[in-house]
Amino acid sequence: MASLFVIQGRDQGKRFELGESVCTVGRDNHNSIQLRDTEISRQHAQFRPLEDGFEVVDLKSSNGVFINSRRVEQQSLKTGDRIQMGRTMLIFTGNSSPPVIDISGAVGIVGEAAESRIVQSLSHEGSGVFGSIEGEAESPWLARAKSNLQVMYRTALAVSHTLDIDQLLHRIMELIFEWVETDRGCIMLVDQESNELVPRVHKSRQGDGESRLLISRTILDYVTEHNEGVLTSDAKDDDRWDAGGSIVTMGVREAICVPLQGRYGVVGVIYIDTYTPPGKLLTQTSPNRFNEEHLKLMVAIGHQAALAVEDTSYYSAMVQSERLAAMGQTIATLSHHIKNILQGIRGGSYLIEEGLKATEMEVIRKGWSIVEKNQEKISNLVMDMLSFSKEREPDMVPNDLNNIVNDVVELMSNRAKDAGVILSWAANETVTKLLLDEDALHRAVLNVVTNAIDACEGREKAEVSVSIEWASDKSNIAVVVADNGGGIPPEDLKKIFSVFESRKGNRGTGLGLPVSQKIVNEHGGDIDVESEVGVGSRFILRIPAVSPSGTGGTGKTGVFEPPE
Amino acid sequence: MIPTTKQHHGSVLIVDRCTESREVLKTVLERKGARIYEASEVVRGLEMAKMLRPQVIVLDVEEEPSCDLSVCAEYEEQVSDDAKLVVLGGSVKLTSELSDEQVVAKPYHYGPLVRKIITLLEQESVVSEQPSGVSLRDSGTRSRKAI
Repeated sequence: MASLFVIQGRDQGKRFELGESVCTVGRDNHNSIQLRDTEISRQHAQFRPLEDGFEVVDLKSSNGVFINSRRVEQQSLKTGDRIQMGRTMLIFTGNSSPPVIDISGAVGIVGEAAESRIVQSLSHEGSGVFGSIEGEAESPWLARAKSNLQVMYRTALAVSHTLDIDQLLHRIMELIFEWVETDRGCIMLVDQESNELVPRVHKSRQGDGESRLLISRTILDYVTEHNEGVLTSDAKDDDRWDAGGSIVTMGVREAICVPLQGRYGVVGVIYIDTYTPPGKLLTQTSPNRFNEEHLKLMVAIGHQAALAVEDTSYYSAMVQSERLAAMGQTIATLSHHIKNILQGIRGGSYLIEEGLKATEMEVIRKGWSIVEKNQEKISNLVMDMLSFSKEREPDMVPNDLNNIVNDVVELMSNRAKDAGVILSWAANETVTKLLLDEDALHRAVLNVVTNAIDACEGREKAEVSVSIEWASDKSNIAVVVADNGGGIPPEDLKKIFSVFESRKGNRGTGLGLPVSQKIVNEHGGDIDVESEVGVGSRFILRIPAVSPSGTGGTGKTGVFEPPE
Repeated sequence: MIPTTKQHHGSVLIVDRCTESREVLKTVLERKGARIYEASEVVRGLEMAKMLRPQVIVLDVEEEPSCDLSVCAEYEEQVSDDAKLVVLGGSVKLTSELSDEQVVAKPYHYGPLVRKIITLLEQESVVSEQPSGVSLRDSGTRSRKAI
């Protein structure tokens, strides 16, 4: 489905799907897409479906619609187009995907028949990528070019190694200080909310506490407005800073300021300068440290850094968007279950109330039974939520698995009876005490048995059998829950352990099996499922058999002898 | 044994996947003298509606996986001459055929729902010239009169 993804602005990270009908965008809540941007008109633009895509139409907005930085009234869209409305930037993704071409025949890997001889190898991490060739004399120009290339290479490496913007900017500032004799430097990024430049990194060669870095607004304004880097080698004589007497009074001798020019605009600036205390500026003379070459390289570094800032920013926005979507789904799903439980409690309470009015014990009993069931449901839901939400080490103490399973069967016997399901269980006499987390494993087995009963409820001769089986080498022990329910289609088998995937409608929370799997995994085991549609399913909760003496999985039966 | 005055002058079909909801409505409405039919699936419910011609159908669409507005429309189409339809489910949008009164959002209270069903049964009784003077509005006491 075609979509718009907000990459800049207050709604950054939001994704809007474009359907088959016309979609309006604006500040008003009557729009299909409402953007919280004061520079967007109440009804700003429309996205209209075409036969083969979408077009955007400006609804005579005050600030216009820009596609890839060009103002448009009406234009069809292609995947990757950047749509700017006010301060909000959106990326359009169309329906169509590029045709898949089979290139397996065009590219092949050959073996011994065409052996190659490796003449030389070079790692990208090495410092010698742009080093001199031994024995060759280098001209100063070539040495400088290589040095510049080395700086760019190291910048590229730095920006490709991190998704933390502050870490990235610090690294870039360090590289600049290594390469140029600057006294002070700063990287500022444009704040999404205020559109103001905000300092993110500050470095001074004399130490951070040496002097407060005051940056001329004149320079910043010039760079951001003209979108070009500037070099001033003698600030007090530079015509461009007519209004910038402050540069001189601040002791700035030379300065370079370049925009962080990304794909979609200026995301910030890099500023470096050389500093002389204001009192000595007019009298002290020293050779210039900055030149045009520095400026060019700074512009290139700025662009490289901007791309990384944008990528990191969009990556964070996407993660945030996915997190919000997941949270929304979680809240919606849990609300739904709680609503159903609430409905049940209301029903039970209503029956109790009616029964009390008429003094009819049977009605009261029915109502109480419904209330109790729903109490149990909410208790299970909360326990599953707790089990699923926290990472924990199982509390492994010597336990008899027979007792754990027996407790579950006893607990579920009434439920099975109500559902018309025969619940059969026979303890395994060979089971010895093993290191198990009793409460956790109880919950894991309970969820699987509950599912099994639900799966075969309403079927003829419905039966759930529970047993404990050893692996042939006794390294593992398994609780096996088999039912003759409807079975699980193969395509659903992959999903049954996914959270909130329930095949039970309003009876299932979609948490039971994920929780069981988590608990069994925490024990170092796993759950296997065998199922056939129309025949039934077998859930095998397999866990390593670890004896209280700390041994297990050896296949030696003696290890598992019960203590006297 | 629940003492009721089952005179079977009114009939209600409850179509709901939730056993508990059916149980609550069944218990209360039976005590008020209504004949109750139950179905746990909409398709089966529709068959029962055609066959049994209840006066009121209570249809829960929220938990029905395949259920959408077309199912409500189908119910209305099939049973409009014979029965009043009450749809349970907060996410069901109204169609022109469904009035606000016919839709009950979840989670609902059973008292108002039961009163709504009884009112509809009374209206049906008047239309079909059932004995007049029947009042089932007092849901708080055991019904003395038939629907």
